[in-house]
Amino acid sequence: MQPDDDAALVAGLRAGDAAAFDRAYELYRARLFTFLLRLSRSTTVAEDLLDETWLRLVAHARALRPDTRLAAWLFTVARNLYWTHRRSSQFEESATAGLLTLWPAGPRWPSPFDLATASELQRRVEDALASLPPDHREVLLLVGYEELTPSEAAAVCGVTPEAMRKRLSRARADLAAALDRAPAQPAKKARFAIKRSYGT
Amino acid sequence: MNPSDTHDDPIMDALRELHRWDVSAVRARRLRERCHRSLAAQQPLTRGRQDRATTLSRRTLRVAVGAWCCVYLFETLRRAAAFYWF
Repeated sequence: MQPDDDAALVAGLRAGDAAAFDRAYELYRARLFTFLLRLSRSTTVAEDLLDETWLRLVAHARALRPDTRLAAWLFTVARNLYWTHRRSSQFEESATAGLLTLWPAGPRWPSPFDLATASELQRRVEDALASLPPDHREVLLLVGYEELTPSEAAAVCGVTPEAMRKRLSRARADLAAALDRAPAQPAKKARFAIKRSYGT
Repeated sequence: MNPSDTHDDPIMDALRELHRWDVSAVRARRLRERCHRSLAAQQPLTRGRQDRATTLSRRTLRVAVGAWCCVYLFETLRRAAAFYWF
């Protein structure tokens, strides 16, 4: 997205223009959701955090500076919300460790259908990415997937560009190692997972 | 690793090829409507808050200037009295 387009969107949002909000929403909704989904690895959490991110944009729309880079602003809010959620959920898990078996849910993502339809390489990359710690995952997602500039990604993560460069380097090495470790899953296994899941 | 070199990297290329996900159409529409309502409801509220803040700061400034003038006048009179009459 061009900075001029961003400036026009931000100007519209500052004026409380619903059409400007709609344009921003269409541009960034899927990007934010994908980012949050891969970060949290839970559809429910990603949906909730996505809602909160957009509501925060609306609440702060008039206070945005005219030169705000909307992508960086949104990803910063989404990322901070994720880390806040993570800290609170870790506290809850430690406080209720003995009760965890009462909850039947596991991570709802990815579904067996997603696993089967994704290409083998994509599946391996998804698995390898999911195995990384969240701070490495977020760096790879921001720079590698969302193609934010390094300075934008550094601002989103609240670190210096130099620290970002080091973190990216480590994350990339971790991903490469995880990809080497990830076993190839036979297609038959994925098909069985679908049959079991959908009862066909 | 230089972040600007990520375009020549097979690992980063593989990342770029990953699928993009989105929420359901129903959920997306609900959230949009909620944000529209919030955007519409915020306008007069924000203006009211800004007006109140402006009025408060002006009032504070007036009181401060008035107090400073009183102190200045009192001190001038006191010194004049001390010089001429005592």
